Amino acid sequence: MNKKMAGYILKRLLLGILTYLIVVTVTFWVMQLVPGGPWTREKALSDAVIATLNKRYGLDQPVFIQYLRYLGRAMIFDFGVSYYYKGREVTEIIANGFKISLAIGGWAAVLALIMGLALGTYAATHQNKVFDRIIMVLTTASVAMPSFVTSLILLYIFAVNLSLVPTSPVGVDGIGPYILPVIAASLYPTAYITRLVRSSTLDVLGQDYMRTAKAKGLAPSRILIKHGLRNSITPVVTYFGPMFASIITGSLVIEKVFQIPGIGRQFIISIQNRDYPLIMGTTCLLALLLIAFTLLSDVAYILVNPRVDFD
Amino acid sequence: MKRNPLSFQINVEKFSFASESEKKSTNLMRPNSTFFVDGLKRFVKNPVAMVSFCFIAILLIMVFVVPLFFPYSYDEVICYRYVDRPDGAFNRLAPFEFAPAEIAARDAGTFVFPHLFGTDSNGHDYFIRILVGARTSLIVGFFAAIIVLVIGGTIGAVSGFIGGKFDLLVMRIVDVIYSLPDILIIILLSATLSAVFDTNLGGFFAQLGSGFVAIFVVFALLYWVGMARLVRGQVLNLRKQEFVMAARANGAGTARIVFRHLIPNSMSVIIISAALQIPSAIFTESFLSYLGLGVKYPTPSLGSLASDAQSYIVNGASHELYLFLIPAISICLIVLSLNLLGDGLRDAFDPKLQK
Repeated sequence: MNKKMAGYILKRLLLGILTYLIVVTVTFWVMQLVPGGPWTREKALSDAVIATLNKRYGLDQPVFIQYLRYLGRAMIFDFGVSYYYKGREVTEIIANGFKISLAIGGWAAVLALIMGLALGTYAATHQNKVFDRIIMVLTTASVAMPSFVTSLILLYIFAVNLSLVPTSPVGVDGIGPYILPVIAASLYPTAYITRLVRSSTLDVLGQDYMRTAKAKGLAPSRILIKHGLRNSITPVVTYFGPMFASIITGSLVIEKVFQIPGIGRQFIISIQNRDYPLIMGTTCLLALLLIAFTLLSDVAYILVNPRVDFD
Repeated sequence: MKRNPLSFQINVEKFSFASESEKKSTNLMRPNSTFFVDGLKRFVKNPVAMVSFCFIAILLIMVFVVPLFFPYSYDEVICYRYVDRPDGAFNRLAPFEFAPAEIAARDAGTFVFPHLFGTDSNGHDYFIRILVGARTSLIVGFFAAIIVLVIGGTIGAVSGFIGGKFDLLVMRIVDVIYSLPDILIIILLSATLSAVFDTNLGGFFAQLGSGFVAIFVVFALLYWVGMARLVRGQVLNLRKQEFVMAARANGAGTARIVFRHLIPNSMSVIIISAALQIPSAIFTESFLSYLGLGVKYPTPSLGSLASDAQSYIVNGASHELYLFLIPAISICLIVLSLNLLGDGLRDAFDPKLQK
């Protein structure tokens, strides 16, 4: 790794930290905008109770002091206790939801990567054949389908009508309930990776070194794997990091459809409950994930592709 | 006539008149074609783009014209059959079914327009709700694209023109906004903004619906960055071109260069990219509406209609499946055809940008 590369990584790291700070700040001030406080319940609390609660959680301090304290705590991921679920640590609630989201997101990412690489390479090596055409039509169409539509249709066909997978919620029947959410979460990234791999493989197949490899008498499969894949995979590397993070953060819809108590669902519920510590904690975690994976992906990209231009 | 052998003066005697066949070579084979006409020709030859174009055109007419003289309005309650059972399934009419009052009217001899898709569980005519919902989605998409175009275009053009430290600052801001987790911020903003608007705003905004305004604010805050980058790139690229230098050498002022050379040359790229914002905005709107953060009842949007009907899917009620499928398929078809139309426009009007 040379100096230029280290400088680039340092620059990206600083940008990542700055982005994290901005997300944290935006979240705090946006929450201040919301009319009504965390104690606005259906049954109104007395003023004395609210004053005691405010004092206990430090909400009687000036807003700017609250902001600074919160900023400090965001740096060490200590978000205190939830306002809504009494006495439960925010980090613990988040960890519970995150475990489930991570399992679904992780498997969906792996599935999307395998399927995308296989389908994309096959479509590129059989360009303009029937299979390639079908792949192109399907990927174009699937980009236009909102994930709640595909998820609900999957749910209707495979769980409700054919009863191939259980309709019970995640965490009850072993791996059964995980199958559909994982497939639903992987559809869009699979389509995207397939298109990426197809176009980059087509690009690579036309290169001179591929002809040279063929002229040397290498087996077609070896050419494709050793020379083709290594070069065609570079765009996937850049996409994979943000994709993995966005499957986890963007699984809100899938978690709502399949009734999964994951982190995305928790985020929406915590906004509805005005549970400040939980909202802050979830936002910080998700933002950090997204930033970290984008950074990792960019670093991996320059390692895979040494010709990259640092600008 | 005696000439100095070193003179550069043309010797007229060496010239002769052009023959008829030689004159023909200067004839125009066909009329001059402009960039726009060329693009239009390429566009018309693309069957996928043309089909999408026709679909969108028919849809626009349906969505904006039909509600004007449709006998039912989207928030009019057609039927409450069982007053003592306010249960959705009992208030719903199947397609082409009539409410008791309407049957009485029909028996009396008046013409009652049929409910093409029946009614929804709140007793509203579903056909008009689908049309108005599609209109909502299209309006959201269109205005979001306009907002992005205006904000991003202005910032990008100014930044590219002024350059220097201002440009550097703007580009760093763009970098940061680019790396923000957009889904998170969208949800946070639309949830809080609708709470803010519901309590603080009246009149026009209340009528429009707070969810609507929230979506526009989100687009105005987050999605201008892509457009700003594109426009800045275009401005920087075009400023260096020879024809701009030639115009300047001819004495053209800045205003003339901007309006006569820079804008016409970058317009196609910018408009196409703005057009591709429309489907992405429709997508975002349906996503937010599904999560219950988009437009507020009784205003329908395709996302909220699909969301309202999802319980039929989960319950496996095959008779009511159309209530979900109609809005869901409408979203898919609208987004797909807008995407394909945008791609077709790009291929036709931006030949430099080959995919």
